[in-house]
Amino acid sequence: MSADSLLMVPTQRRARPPLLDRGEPLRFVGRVSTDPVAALADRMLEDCVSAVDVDEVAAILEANGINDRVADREYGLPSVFALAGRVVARTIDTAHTVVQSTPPEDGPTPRAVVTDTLTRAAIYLTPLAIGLGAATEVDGAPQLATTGTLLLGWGGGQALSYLGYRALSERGVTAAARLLGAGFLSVAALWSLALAGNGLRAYTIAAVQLALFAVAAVALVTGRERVVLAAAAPCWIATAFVALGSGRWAVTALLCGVAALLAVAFRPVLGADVSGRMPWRRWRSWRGDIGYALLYGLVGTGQAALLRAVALDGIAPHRVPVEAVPLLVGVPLIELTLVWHQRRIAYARAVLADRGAFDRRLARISKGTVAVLCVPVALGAAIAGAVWLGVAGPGGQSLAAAILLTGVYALCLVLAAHGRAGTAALVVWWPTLLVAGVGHWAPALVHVAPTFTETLAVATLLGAGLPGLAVAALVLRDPESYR
Amino acid sequence: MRVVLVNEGTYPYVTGGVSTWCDQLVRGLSDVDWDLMAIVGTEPDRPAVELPGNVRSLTAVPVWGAARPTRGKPERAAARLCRGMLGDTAADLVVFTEGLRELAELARPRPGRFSKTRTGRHPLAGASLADILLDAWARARADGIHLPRLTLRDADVAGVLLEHALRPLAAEIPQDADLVHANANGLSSMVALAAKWRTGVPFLMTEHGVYLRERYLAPGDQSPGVKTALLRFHRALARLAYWESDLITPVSGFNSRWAVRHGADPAKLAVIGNGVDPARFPPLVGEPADPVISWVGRIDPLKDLETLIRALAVVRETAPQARLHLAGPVPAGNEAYAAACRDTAANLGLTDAVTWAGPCSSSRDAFEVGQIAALSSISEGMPYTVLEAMMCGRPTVSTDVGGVAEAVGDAGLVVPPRDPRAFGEACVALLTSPDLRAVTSHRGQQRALQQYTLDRCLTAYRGRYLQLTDTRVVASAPVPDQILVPA
Repeated sequence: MSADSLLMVPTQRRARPPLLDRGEPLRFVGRVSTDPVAALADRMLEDCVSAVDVDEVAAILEANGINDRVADREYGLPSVFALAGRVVARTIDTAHTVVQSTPPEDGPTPRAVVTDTLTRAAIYLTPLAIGLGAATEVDGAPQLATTGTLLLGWGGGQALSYLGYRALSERGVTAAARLLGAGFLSVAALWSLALAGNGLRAYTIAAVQLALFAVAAVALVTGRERVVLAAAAPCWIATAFVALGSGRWAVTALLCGVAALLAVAFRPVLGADVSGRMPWRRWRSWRGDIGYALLYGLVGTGQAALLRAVALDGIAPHRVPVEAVPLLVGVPLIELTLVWHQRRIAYARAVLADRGAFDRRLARISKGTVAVLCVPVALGAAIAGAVWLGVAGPGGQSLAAAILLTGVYALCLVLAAHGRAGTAALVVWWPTLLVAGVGHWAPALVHVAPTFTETLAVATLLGAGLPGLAVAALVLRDPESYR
Repeated sequence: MRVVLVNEGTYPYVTGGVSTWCDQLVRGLSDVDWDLMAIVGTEPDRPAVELPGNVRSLTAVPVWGAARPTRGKPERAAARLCRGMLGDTAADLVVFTEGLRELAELARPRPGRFSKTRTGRHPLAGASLADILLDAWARARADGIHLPRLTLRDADVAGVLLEHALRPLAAEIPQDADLVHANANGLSSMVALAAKWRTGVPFLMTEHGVYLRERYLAPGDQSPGVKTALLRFHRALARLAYWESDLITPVSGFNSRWAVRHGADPAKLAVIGNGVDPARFPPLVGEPADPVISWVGRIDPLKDLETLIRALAVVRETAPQARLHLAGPVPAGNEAYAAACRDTAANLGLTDAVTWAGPCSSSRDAFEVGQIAALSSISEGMPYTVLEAMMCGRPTVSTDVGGVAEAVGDAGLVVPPRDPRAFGEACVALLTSPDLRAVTSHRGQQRALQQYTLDRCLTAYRGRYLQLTDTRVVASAPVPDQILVPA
């Protein structure tokens, strides 16, 4: 009978029955000690080396049947504590020098990490890629169905994903998938009311967008990226045909592919729910979780709004917006950089015992990461500068804006991953509001110059990117960010 | 009399073992008004047992609930706590005590800013305990204390676990309580310590298993640094609780050794063994024809069922018809261990010879199925299983752990733990000899009736409660000023 500690789960200690089997005859192999304590110490060498103190050895002895009576009868010592003291002393006398070796870096191999990261990036870029590829098909559709659903799906996906991860850690895969399914269904039901009167085409466009965001969220939360990505392959192919102008059959194939993808992604919903046995009350408050989910939703909506305002606004409706291509390439690379950064930091924390040494290593690692984060900002600024200086044509502004947008997304990712979701929301929302506000309230300015909108976008993105970069550098350099 | 009974991870949210003891105490001492405090992981939904009418309140103290950071600055107290727990000397224990007392004061329940509801605070929530621990570690090593390496990740993990371990300091006992009865050392005793420091209410500690010893045996898969930090904390806390408690009532003399070793005054120790109600466990009439070994308990690594299953293989060398009847639940978190036990049985070709009966309403039903009762644990206090089997008139084979040998005396067979051969041979001796079974069962029943009845146990506790509460009345009377006389 024992009171179970809530801090350490009991496990069977030293389950090696032969270890202390006193009935085992000794085999003569040369000069060996005949002292029973020495023989016991030899058998308990591993336990003694890892023991915190003598009492731990005494506890192990007792758990193996050596109590005071046995200690007295077989070892000539008054108690098991005295015997443990002798055993430890003997071990210390005879122990070899243990060389502290650096533990190997745990976790998956670099190749697996790269593969997993790129797979995840492909999953969350799938809605964007399909949306861009099929842009010609949504031409003329109501803004509510296109832009509105983009904002709702992106932001809602971020918020529900946060809650989904919480549900996953506390109640398992099935519960997480069901939470996401119920969440997206609720969002879709409410959105269908908002779309009332816009016709079947608007409903179809909105439904496909929401479905793609739901697929991305559930695949990432439940960890089934590879299966879902395989199921998404037909959608990517159909989208390519749509972009090439293959007509109705490609669109039909895309719709069928999305339906199949949805079914595959939400397959865990049908799994056995073991969460019924878990307490409903939790170690975190629901109020806190919902607050964080709303914050992440705000960041997601801001990212979508920025994409709409910078990369998609003003493009010709009859062509694929190639300005968004840097996003599709740059975001996975940035994600890889950040994963590399986190692994290096985690390894440093696992092997270093000195905070000064950790700070120095953190500074080195952070410099490299910040250098990578600088690349899109610097490249975007260089292209924009070339345009302003007349070295490049005015079309370069759009490219500069898209590259800078990639940089801002990367900063967003860093800030959100280090618990600065509020700052991330600020970084994405203020350029969005500025660009959209100028277009809405001062339309005359848009006509001052042919590329005014692009120039404004580049300027505001630089305005967001540079201070965002400074904040991200501080965050990455802050040891408190890694607790 | 109003008594606060503090439990960790057991009564009233879990049944069996310590919970059985608590339920007997609460129902048996019907003249006591009880306030139950249960230290739990996360706040549970409802008790597993129906509480009797003399329970005034039930308070769950979640260790892993949402944090309520203190409004004060706990860093200095935390530094003392960490430095004190790492050392071995009495001076170190004093430093640890100062730190814990300061944290208890920071955690003291107070009315809120906007409501009169008193709320305790989690003293180290939000504090940078990892840095404090690293500093204390470095100082202790500089002072010559042997400690393993503590990496930054170790410090993070240990800091989180220690922060949660200290949360019960925020629990508040009812103002009019006469006594706090901590049903174990460790976190339960920490609640009692905080109450004693705040209001002077006396503190009685019962130990079933030895809390500290079980912490040593349950290190999990922690790194050396984390393991050392946690065990040093538990050791310091256990020593402090042994020192500060007004009375310690271990269930066996075996447990007393650990208490005395860690600073308990022998004069404060009073062994009170567990009790069984003879009316609930009347003698079993007859026995089954088949050689069946009964076991009752929860499926847990501490019960060492693997040895029992291996012992069955030994038994079947002599008695091929022998079977094992295992009655008890698989607690959450022990599923893997249960599966390992089933694998052991399968690997030994005993799948059909082992019955996994699941939970049973009364252990007597399980004993009725077998000719003998078995207990193969590696750690026990004074197990009910053995006492109940003896009361029912079933001969027992047990391992020599904890207070088992004291309980059984010469009325059963006791063998070393983790020795399937010895265990199996003892079972064979009983299963193959009806005369030996009859003699042993008779002796066991007589011993249980003489020394381990529920009534005797309850009477002993009632007496101790009265003794402690009377002492409190005397202690609170005005004391004349001391007069210092120059030497």
